[in-house]
Amino acid sequence: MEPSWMNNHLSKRLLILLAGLMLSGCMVSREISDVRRDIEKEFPGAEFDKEFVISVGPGFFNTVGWLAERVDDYDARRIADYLNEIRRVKVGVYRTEQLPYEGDLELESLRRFNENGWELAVKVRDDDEMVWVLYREWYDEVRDMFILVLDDENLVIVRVEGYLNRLLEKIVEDETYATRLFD
Amino acid sequence: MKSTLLLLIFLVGSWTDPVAAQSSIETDPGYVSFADLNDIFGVAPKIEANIHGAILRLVAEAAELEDPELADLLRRVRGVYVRVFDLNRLNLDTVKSYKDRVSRLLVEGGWDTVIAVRKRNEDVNMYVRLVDEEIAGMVVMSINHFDDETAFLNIVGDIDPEQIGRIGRKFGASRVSDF
Repeated sequence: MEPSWMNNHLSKRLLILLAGLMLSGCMVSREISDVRRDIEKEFPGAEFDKEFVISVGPGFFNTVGWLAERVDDYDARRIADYLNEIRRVKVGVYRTEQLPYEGDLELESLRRFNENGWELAVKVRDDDEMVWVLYREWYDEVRDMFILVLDDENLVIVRVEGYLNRLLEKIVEDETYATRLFD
Repeated sequence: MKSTLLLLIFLVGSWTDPVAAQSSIETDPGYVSFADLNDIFGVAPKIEANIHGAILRLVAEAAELEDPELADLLRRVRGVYVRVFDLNRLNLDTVKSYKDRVSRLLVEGGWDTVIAVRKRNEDVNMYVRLVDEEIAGMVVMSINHFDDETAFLNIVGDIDPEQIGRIGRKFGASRVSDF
């Protein structure tokens, strides 16, 4: 029989290893910061202050998915199944310091979007808020999506990579099944 | 080196898929391009939607939970394009002459007029294009002084004109929906 300190030691190692695996994809995203810089460059006078930027990568989703699959719970396994379809999520939230630009902000015309196959799906310019949804297709499936929301208070930048059609199909399938079951 | 080159060709080829998807819809008999609108009007629209291909399926799938009928409608169409402008930022004569020009071109191109209403505060035209007795596309153009909005909507695919409102509402062209 092994001494208890060894068990503790092993558990600590396991925990560190697990945390390392989970956090392997969690880091600050340079891309999100670059988008913010591009916006400031393209629209002189616009200025944003970072509140937080985070990028969660495949390491995180794979580990959480792997763990959730092993939990004896239907919902956890469902979530594991959804996580398998997500590759990466990047989020940036900035405080709007200055937004002097009165005209039309055409973020979709930024070179990074223009030259890399991004398509503008929806753009909404409300009285006090602007929203852009851009996406890229790959093999007839939405695999990449950028959502930008800008108002007097914040600039929020979100990028989601994954098999988004498949993810939504799974969610709808499960929800429809559950609705039918309880109807 | 050769494999890197092949990989590059593969990647470039894959990422050009959206362009291919877009050009295929652009040759569809039910498609009408409003791409030049921003330049003609000199301002950006307050709502712009370009929904086709995989993103259309994504929207249809998302609609399934709240409105399964709308989801079915969206699955039958190949594209939905919306431009809504704030009339206060536009020259009304420019808008009217653009609308008249597009109406003329549509009729000359074989589109049928479904609605042509000219009232003091509202001006609406709706056209459909039939191919082999099936609807290939629909265009609605409206100038609305109640809401100070002008809207241009093109739905590509088989759509019942009575259902246009449901799709219009989904993409922010609520006034167009009333027709």
